[in-house]
Amino acid sequence: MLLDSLRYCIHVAFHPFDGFWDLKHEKRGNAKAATILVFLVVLSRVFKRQATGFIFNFNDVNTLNLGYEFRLIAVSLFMWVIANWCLTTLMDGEGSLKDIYITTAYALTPFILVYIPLTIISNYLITEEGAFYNFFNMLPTVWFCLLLFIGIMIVHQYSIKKTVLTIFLTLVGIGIIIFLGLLFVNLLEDISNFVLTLYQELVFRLY
Amino acid sequence: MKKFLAAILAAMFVLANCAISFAAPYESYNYSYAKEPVPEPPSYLPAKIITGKDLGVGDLKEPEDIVVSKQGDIYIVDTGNNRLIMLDKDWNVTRVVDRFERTNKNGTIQQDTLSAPQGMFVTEDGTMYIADTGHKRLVVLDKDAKFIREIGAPKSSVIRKDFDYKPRKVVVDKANRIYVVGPGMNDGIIEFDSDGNFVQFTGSEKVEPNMYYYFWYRTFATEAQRKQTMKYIAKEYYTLDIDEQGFLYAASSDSINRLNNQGEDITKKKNEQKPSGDLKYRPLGIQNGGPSKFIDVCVDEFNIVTGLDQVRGRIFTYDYESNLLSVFGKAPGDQEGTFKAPVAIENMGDSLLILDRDLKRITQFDLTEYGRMVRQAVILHYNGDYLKSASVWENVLKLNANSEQAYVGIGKALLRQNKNEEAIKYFKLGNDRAYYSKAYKKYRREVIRNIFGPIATSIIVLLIAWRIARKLWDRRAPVRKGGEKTYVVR
Repeated sequence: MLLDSLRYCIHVAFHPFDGFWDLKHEKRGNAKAATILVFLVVLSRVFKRQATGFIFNFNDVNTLNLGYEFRLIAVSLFMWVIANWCLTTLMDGEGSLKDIYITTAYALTPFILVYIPLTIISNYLITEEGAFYNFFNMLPTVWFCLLLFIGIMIVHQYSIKKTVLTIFLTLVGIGIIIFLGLLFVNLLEDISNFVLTLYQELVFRLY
Repeated sequence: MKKFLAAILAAMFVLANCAISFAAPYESYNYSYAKEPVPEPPSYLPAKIITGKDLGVGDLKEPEDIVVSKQGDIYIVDTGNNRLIMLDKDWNVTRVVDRFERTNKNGTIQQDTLSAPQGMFVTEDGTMYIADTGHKRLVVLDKDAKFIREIGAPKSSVIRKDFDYKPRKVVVDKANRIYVVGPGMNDGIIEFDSDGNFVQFTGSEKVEPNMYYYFWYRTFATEAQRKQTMKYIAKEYYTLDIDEQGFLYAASSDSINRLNNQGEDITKKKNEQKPSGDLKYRPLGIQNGGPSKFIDVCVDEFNIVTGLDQVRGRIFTYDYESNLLSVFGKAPGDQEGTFKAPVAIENMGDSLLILDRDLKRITQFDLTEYGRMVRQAVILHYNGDYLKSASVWENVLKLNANSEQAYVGIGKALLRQNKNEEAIKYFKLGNDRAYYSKAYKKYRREVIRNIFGPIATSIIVLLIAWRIARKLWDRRAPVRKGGEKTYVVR
């Protein structure tokens, strides 16, 4: 069942309308498979960062931070899913939190499909062939955006105009989440500072 | 016990010899491809210190410039004492110039002096062009310090009304065109023709209209704000030098620029970076913080440019491809080889002379063995002798395994010899992607050429074998054997 769900991601990538519908209604998708896909995306990104051919690799191979790479994908995904769910609940969307999570994760498959072969081939290319490399570098991002758009449209059963509006508002929502998070952290910092200073004062006065 | 003591003594002896790197009162480093400073052996060490007293002319007072002519004669501009000290290449004083006679138009002879001269230039025949800053003019003297002419402030309609002419540095090219820079002159380099008439401002920044600026300054900015922006568009050059081919090397606030005689910027960039001194520094505002500011540059006959950074007192040497060859120097400092207020730098053979205004002395820096090897390798490369250059780079690598330039140098030689596979390894170590691609292209072609034959043949053989096998399999005839069907090839 898990393996079938994973293999289904390729079908979703090439037949989005059909795929996303079946993902939700025929239960071809699975939350566990979605999580595995997210891990695979992180892995492909790391592979691309480290193993790209020398000519195209401008990263310092020794400074890989796995935690950073993982957090980058996981936190962005998490924020998107939460913001989207909050918004679509208010805007008569038919997708539940689980549906949105699975849809977004399956929309990420182009990154796995393209990055891995691209990284392998980049080791055998020269600068003049850089145009091909740049094209395939950009391809999964565009593909992902398309898939996400279609996915949102189908999961919530929105019209195109409403999908565009939802996506824009979701981004605004992510901004608000970040703002609130920073505010909260700042507040915690102030509280802990207060408690620590109080403790210090007591200690210095009692001795 | 005896063996143990002998071992200890041997170890102490070996360790004592490691003190070579401590002989320098400063740290030497270079920048890697990732713009990180990486330590390396010093290329120059202080060799000699010369003060005014040593020369026998009394203390120098706030000297601002030192120049070495092609013949090796040394000229010191003793600004505070309003005089020029001429020396031969063995540091013997030949003449002290503090006044000269000039004949006026009506025939009378007049005594004239210099007033706080800040710079000078010596042409091949010994003619001296002195930037007489206090008198706002250039004074031209011949090699015997006899007055030839003076060149006053430039007069032209393109010069703005509040232009304050304070000539500080001057160079003269082979066509006797004169180029002058000075503080506050941010319209570019002043160019005079050989008769002393103002020609133009060269090297000024071409102002390209920017949509943002256009919109902002047309609609929102007040008159006073608009006046302020003039300063941001202007380009001020602090210092100048000229090379054998007549290209100007002018240091502006962010880098050393190479200008042709149209005033166009033809500086070679290394990794999209012009020679600009330190790539990593403490932020502006902290003591000794901020980007490097070149107060003087000098260039030698192999187009090796050396810049003196005023902010941290460091000397940066770049080759003609803008590769950073070496960094050394320190200010402020108390030891021999450090400075307090370094103001001028000049080549003397392959040594460097640096003039310190506040310490009133000249420090001569000579090349170390490492510096000599690097210089030799760069010169051989400049002359196109890649193979010899590579063998010198190999010696450099023995002393400094971090030298990316050495790896690229060896890689280039290997590329010429068509040793593509090794060349690739060296270019990767040297972080040069352009040459790596070139070498890889050739290597790839080589590999494919070698394996194409066998692979193509084997593919065809496999195809034919497959077809034959299928035909044989299809043509098998059924043979009954006790109720079971078995097959035999007909």
